[in-house]
Amino acid sequence: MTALRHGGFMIGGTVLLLLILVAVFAPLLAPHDPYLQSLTTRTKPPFWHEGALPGHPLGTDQLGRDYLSRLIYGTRISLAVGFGAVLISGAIGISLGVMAGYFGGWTDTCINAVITTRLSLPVVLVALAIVAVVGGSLTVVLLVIGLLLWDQFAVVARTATQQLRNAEYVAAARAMGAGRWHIMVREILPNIRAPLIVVATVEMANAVLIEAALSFLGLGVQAPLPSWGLMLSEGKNFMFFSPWIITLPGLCLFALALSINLLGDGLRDVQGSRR
Amino acid sequence: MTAQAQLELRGLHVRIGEVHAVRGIDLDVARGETLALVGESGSGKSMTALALMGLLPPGARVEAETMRLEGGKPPALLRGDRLSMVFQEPMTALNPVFTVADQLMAVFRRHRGATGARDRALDLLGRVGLPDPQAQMAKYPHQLSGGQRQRVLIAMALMCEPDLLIADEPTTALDVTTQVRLLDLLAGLQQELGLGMLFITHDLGVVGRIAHRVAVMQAGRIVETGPRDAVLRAPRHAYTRALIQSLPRPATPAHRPPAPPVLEARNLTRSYGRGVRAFHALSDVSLRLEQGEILGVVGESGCGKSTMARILIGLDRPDLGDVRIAGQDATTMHQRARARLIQPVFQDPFGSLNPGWTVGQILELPLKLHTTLDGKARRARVHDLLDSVGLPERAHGSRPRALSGGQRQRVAIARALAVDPRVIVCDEPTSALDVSVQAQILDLLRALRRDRGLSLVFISHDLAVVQALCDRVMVMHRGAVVEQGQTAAVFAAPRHAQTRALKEAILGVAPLVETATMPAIQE
Repeated sequence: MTALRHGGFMIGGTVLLLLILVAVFAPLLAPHDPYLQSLTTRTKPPFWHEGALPGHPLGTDQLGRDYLSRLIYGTRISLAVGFGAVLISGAIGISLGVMAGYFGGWTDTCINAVITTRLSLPVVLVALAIVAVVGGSLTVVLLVIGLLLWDQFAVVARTATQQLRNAEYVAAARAMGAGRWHIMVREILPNIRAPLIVVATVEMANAVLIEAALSFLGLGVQAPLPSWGLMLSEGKNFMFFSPWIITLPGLCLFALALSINLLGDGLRDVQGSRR
Repeated sequence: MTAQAQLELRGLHVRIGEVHAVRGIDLDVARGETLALVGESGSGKSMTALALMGLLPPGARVEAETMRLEGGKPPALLRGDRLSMVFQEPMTALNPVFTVADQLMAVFRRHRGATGARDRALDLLGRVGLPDPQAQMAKYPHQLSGGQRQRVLIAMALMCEPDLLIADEPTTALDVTTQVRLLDLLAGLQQELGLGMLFITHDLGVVGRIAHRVAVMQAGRIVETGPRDAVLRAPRHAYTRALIQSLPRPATPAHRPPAPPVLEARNLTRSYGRGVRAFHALSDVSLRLEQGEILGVVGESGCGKSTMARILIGLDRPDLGDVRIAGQDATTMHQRARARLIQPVFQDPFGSLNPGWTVGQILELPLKLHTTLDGKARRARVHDLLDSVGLPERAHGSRPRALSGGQRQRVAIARALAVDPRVIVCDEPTSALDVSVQAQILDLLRALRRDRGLSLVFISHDLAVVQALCDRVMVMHRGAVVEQGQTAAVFAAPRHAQTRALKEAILGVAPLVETATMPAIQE
């Protein structure tokens, strides 16, 4: 099956691409400054409700800031956390996993102990504890999530490497006098890329949701940055009279997580059928 | 054949996607007859069997004018009952979580009901030559060897007293000595039970041992069919002649003046594990290879020949003993220095090339590691290498997936040649290839020895190939060398029981073929 004929892959890919474009061109797309408060026009509803304010198609929040602009800028934060955390955790997890899988023996035992330790830690609780001590900011949240989410990369990279360690082309490279670095990076890594890309998509959606959860709890990205999780948290007191204040960021999160997961499923199907 | 046809097949076509795999073939198998369907990979022989069984993958289209078993029903409706099949790979054809008894009796219950299943299973396990059938019944597949599993599969195929048995390369995955025993078993059972058998194989030696009639298949068509001896002795079709011609034949060894040794191994010993559970893969093995010599190493799987190869190449270290290459002690040598002297060619042409790289990248790697050539010089050298193994220049940009098995093996040989080594260790380099491709690879190895003065260690389980290629031969058994000497001498008068067993397992058609005058291949 080719990627272009896979429905999930195409839908997920298109939505994610759109969101990336929105994040990149946020200053051009946003109709207002997302931080500009206007206490006279607070919690104005979106255009389909009565009493909507012209110029604010999705209404305003409890401080009178344009909601569409905040949602558009929020895309930047979610995607930054998603990609950033996956880059960090992928680098850690894949290095550990490939080394454990390739060297085996004591290296494997030690790395495996680290992986098991990490797996026994509840991510959200540990992240909460660290952020509570260090203090919340976008950078801290990104680092904490990145430093916590590498376990699946390590597990998958380790198993995949173990399967390839004894492949004849690896033996041929060793017999050729190629070094360990060459073998791990050039011979093994490209051939385990398929399952790792799938892990990356799962973890990216995961990172986005953890950031939202931390921000919702007040220990993530700090106000006035327009994080979708923070917007959910700030809007919760107004949800009975102004339900869009929590529905809209919720929908955005849902769309982003779903598109990443659809893309990952699609990649897995497309790669699976190629074997 | 006067007997009534038990299987009648007319005008079978199989299409899978765009591929027209089987193009209108006719087959008859009579009661009590073995028809061998011979062809190389991709000729459509397995597709024919799967079409008969109704087991083709989804998306395959089957058309046939007539396809029926005795009694008139289409065979696919009777599979498991009147028609059964023995598959190629005994390691995966049994379900690992059920006992032998479960699996045998399930077939019987499905078609014949619960009563008598156990007795029938016990009876058949005895008939397929498994000792103590009662004990075998309770075993799981992993407790059996490959040969034993294949016997269980044969018993399973016979549970419902089928009229027709389809055997798809049932012995290809087994050791040569096991193969002969199983072929004799199948032939015996076929006679005893009056079975019709459609035996699919790529190996003309197997045909000579088991078939009554032969149908030769090429590119989806049957190009020749007839009684076994007639086809093997006086093949009418050019393709059949080419197949017979490409069978390895004992070569008359050219006289070689004594030369200095280029590879010496002394008292190599290697075991895995410790204490009572230790497995002694190699005990006290020594060898000596002269400049320009081809040394054959033969033995069954598990005899230690691959362990020895790994130690020679430097992928494994011996517990005891040492290796000297070109007069230098290899045990203390850096792997990179050793790589310039000795290179491997592995068995599996699918596994020995990195699937993500192009042929050009694969061949440039040794040049990058071992020479200071710049990009342009490397590419020129890669073209020379491709040329020297008979591959076209355009292969440079192909990935391994786009190449045939024989072409991949040529790339592997070219990679080994890239550093201009003194010795190449070939571990079963042709056992995954078709006979005609095997013949080409053997010719290539001979040419490389002649033109470059290469020395080869040639590891194989196939004595016919060793006889065709090697100057000297070394027979291994359970990690030790049991016999060695000039190839012709060892085969003429084998002293050790293992050598005799291996020799008897050579399924050459030579005795059949050589009694007739071979027409020259000129078409």
